[in-house]
Amino acid sequence: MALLKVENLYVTLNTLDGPLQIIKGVDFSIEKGERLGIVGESGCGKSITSLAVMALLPPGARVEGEILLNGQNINLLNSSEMCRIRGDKIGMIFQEPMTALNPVKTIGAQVAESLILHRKMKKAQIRYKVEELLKSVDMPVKRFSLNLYPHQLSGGQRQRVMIAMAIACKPDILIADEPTTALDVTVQEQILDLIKELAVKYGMALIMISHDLGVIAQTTEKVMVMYAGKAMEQGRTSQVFKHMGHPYTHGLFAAIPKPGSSLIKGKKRLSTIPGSVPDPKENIRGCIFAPRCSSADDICLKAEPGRYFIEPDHHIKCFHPVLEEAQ
Amino acid sequence: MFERFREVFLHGIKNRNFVAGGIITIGFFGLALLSYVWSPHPVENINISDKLLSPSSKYLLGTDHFGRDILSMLIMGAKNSIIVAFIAIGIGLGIGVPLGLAAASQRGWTDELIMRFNDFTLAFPSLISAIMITAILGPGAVNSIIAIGIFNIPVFARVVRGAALNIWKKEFILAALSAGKSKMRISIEHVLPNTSSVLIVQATIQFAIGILAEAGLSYLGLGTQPPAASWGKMLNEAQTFLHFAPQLAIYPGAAIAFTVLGLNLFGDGLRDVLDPKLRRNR
Repeated sequence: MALLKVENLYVTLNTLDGPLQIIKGVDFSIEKGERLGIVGESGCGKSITSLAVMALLPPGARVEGEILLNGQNINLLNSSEMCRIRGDKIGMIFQEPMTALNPVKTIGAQVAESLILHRKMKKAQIRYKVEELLKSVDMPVKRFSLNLYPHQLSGGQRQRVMIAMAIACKPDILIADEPTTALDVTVQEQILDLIKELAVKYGMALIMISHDLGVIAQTTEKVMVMYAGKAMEQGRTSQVFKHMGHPYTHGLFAAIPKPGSSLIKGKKRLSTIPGSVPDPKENIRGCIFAPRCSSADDICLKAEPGRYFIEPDHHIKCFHPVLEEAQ
Repeated sequence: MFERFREVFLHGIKNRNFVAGGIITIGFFGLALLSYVWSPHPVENINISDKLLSPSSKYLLGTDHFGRDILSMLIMGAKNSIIVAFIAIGIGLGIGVPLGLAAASQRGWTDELIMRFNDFTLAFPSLISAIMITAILGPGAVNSIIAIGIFNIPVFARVVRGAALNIWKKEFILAALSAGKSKMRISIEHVLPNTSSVLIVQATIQFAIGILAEAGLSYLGLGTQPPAASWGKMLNEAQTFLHFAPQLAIYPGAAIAFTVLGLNLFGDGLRDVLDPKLRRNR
């Protein structure tokens, strides 16, 4: 049985313009200790998917479908039952380390929070445990006092504290929502390595959400490419990166500047995907990517494509897979 | 915690409002505390032979029409207005803050219910309603505390709700939710500490309003009852002698004006000092 299995996930958010369907049928599953990446452009529903799993969507949001954690549909739980799962079974790391820590509480107190909540430990035990946690994220207590406030730390250090908070109870699943977007490149490397290391060390499943294919390649085993609230391509990361099949995935890869190419020397323009992400208000029949797709024809505009298996566990949703090797 | 006080103090001494208001406020509190250990004469002592004296070495500010020492009455009056305003703020904080936090965390109909009830309460002019309440419950210090306190509740509820709504949008709240905390716990542990600076400032302002309201009620004879001294009561009694003994009205009037001015300046300065965005050296 899969650790987390999401089936037919539909999310409708309440906006000023009325209800908008943001996630339009997403399925994925993740085994114990497995690392899944969710990649896509801004607004494709990556973060909403993870927030739906955590049941942390803004009030008025409607989540349909099954979210099975160890076989239990957590979409049906009430808020106090969900409180017991959050932090204990699923931990989450956020994008902005600058604002994701409470400015008026010490880092020691913040790391201790979920331990007090879920583990009901004694004070001395908690102190020891917090020190151990901070050590595991490379913030040894010898150099970093538990009494420091977030404003006294750098961005990378704050993100480490965030990670310590998220893994405090050794959750089964760790969700990292663009954990390195706000950090500079060198720190980004260290944080990604740390997250991956911790996931392997404690046997946590990892859901890495990013718009950066490099981040996904570096940290994950499985990947799901999302576009406008739908999963376009899913498979082992190595397979998807080597022989991707969906025209959208091809477009994403083509948009990465490659060192040594004529682009870098200033001769060619970076290739882009024409058009822009469809407005969620529009009701698109057929394939949602068709209006921007170069290989789209009549059938793409009329019917929605089913799964097309490229390899046993690598499938795309497309009528016209582009099956050449990646450049 | 100590560091925080030090920081506020270091920024504060550069702020003119904070310093001026602070000195007046401290002087006022000092006067009130003094009353517990010493006052020149007992205020209950009526000594008709010494009535309406001008200032002398025995009576530093002179005496009133009953021969009571005016300085002693001012000191005792300071104590009484502080007690009334303080407890009234306690009522406002104790009931208003939880209501505001609940409104901000629950939103929806809870929010509507609390805030509309707030609007309803605020729609009544506070002093006139306080007169009504004391008229129903009967005059006295305790009833004036209740009357003033009730009208502090919606003020604090509204201020806290506004500040809390802002905090609820922050990412660290999402982080706390993802750690499995309930909304109530987050309200107490994360939202409340982040609203403390607005609360402190609002409390200072309400303090000044409370003192004015207490003076108003006792002026009308609905607040503190004799023989206890009160600034409003002194003003009332001075009215009769306004033509030949104007100092009787001037002393308590000046005391009220100065204290309220001081507290307002202090609150203003404190807001500038506590909010780094408003922190400019004036």
